[in-house]
Amino acid sequence: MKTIKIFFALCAINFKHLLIYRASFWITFLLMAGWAGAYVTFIEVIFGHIDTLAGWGKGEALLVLSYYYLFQNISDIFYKDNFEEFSDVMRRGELDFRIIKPVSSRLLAFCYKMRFDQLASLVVTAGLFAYALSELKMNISPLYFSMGILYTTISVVLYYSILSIISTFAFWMQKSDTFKVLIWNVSQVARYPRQIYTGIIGKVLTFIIPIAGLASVPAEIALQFDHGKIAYILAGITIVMMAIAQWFWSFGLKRYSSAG
Amino acid sequence: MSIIHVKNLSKTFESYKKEPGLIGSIKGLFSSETIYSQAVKDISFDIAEGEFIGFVGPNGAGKTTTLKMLSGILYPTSGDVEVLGFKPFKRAPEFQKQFGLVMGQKNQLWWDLPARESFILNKAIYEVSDHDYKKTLDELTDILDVEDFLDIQVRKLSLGQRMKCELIAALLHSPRILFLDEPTIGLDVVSQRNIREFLSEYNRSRKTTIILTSHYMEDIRRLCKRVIIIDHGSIIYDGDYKNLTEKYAGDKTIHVSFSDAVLENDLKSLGRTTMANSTSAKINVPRKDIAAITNRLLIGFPVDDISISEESIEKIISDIFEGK
Repeated sequence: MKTIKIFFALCAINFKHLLIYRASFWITFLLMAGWAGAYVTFIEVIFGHIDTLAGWGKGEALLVLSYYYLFQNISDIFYKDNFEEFSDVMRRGELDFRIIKPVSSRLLAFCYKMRFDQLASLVVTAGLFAYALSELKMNISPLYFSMGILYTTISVVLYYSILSIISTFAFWMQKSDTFKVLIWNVSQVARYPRQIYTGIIGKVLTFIIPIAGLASVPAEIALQFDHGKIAYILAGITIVMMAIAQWFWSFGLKRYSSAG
Repeated sequence: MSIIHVKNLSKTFESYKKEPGLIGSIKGLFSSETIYSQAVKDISFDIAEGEFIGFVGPNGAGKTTTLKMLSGILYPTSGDVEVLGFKPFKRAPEFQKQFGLVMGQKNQLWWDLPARESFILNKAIYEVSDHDYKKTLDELTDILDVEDFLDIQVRKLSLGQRMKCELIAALLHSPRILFLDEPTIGLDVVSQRNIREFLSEYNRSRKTTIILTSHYMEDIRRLCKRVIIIDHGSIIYDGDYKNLTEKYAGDKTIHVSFSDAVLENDLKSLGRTTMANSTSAKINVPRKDIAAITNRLLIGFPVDDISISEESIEKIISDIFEGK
């Protein structure tokens, strides 16, 4: 309960930063619109040649892309910068003040800096959702659409746990940037329906590094596809990953050597 | 009663040796030599509630490492450490609520926001009630005279103003122990004095235990009754500040001036002269002989003025570190 309270206190202090990043707000808006436009064009090109992709139609694929951007926007706002900077923060000894506070040190390490200027991205994502819904051949129930949104937050927590585990390696390696770039690139697979990844790669991306379903599962739930089991599996994997991330963080902190 | 108990505490850091140059960097990709440096070696001490302790030592002596182990930032390599009945490295929230930390070279305030915003965040983190927060903030603001710049962005404050705000951030939850690592570093003389006066008064009125590391002997001299001198990771003195002079300064210095010219050779029989001419001299004399030598000077020489001084604490400590 206290962790949630402090999370909101961090949101409040970071929101006060928004004025400092006014220019960034508009730049983010334009960049995000550009990227989203490029991917929509890519999907338009694919579906210009085929009717379905691994059983998904154009509107459905666009919906996966919309949930992907929503998931990415939330990650960007609440924790992305912290993971990118973590190795430097650790090597400069800036973790000192964050690990002596009577609150989750992992929360202060990875949700300390938030980027509310990235809220601009949500406007673009809302537009993308509207376009995806207009392209769907069926109507989505508001309840299931909301459940998809709820499941996106579970994906956000799962991704946070995965990044937390990777970043914790920095206590041994001093720099885990290469891992992070790798995982960042691998996370791009989440923007397409998970069914296109088959065989061993599909299993790895679903169960070992569970990234394939980050956006696909929320879309499947919204579309009421017959994949109820995967929703439970994703929730279960998230709980396991959260526990592993917390244990590994506590273990890694023993190696923290500060600086200066 | 002891609230900090340290027994045979050690901390060893690991690093890797890199040969110089590009070839060295390429070699380092395949193999590297691990270097172990013992920053703190087997130190032991106890601190009672309400004490104001000074940790003194040259750069790299192990002062800050010790402070970081006491506050739970660093995990000890070996030995026992207990603070307020807790093992600091376990980082129990009940323990963390009872101490504050200020580091002169790092800051916990949010750089782009006014200090007040950081205080509000700390209020939530330390679960300080609205009433206590207002009361403590009003008191500290008043004593430190910071009311005018609480709403100015931290990055626009002077170093002295920022340090005062750092102190408030560390004290808002009324900790029982305050760890201070070089809090006056880089401050001008007036700001140093203000911070010292505040700390002295705070320790006296609140009975807060304060552990201070500083390069400035003036900080230690004005604030700390007890001093722990640490060098190369080991404690070489732990005791009263006043006794330090008696223990390590074997000599006192007699400053004397004469109304008539005297022979320098006559003075040499009195002790080790560090300066001598026909009208004045400085003579280093063993502490136990000071009365007898002063007497001989007054009887045997045309003394115009005479005074006796202790060796400066800076000189004593520098001699200790240099192994003299």
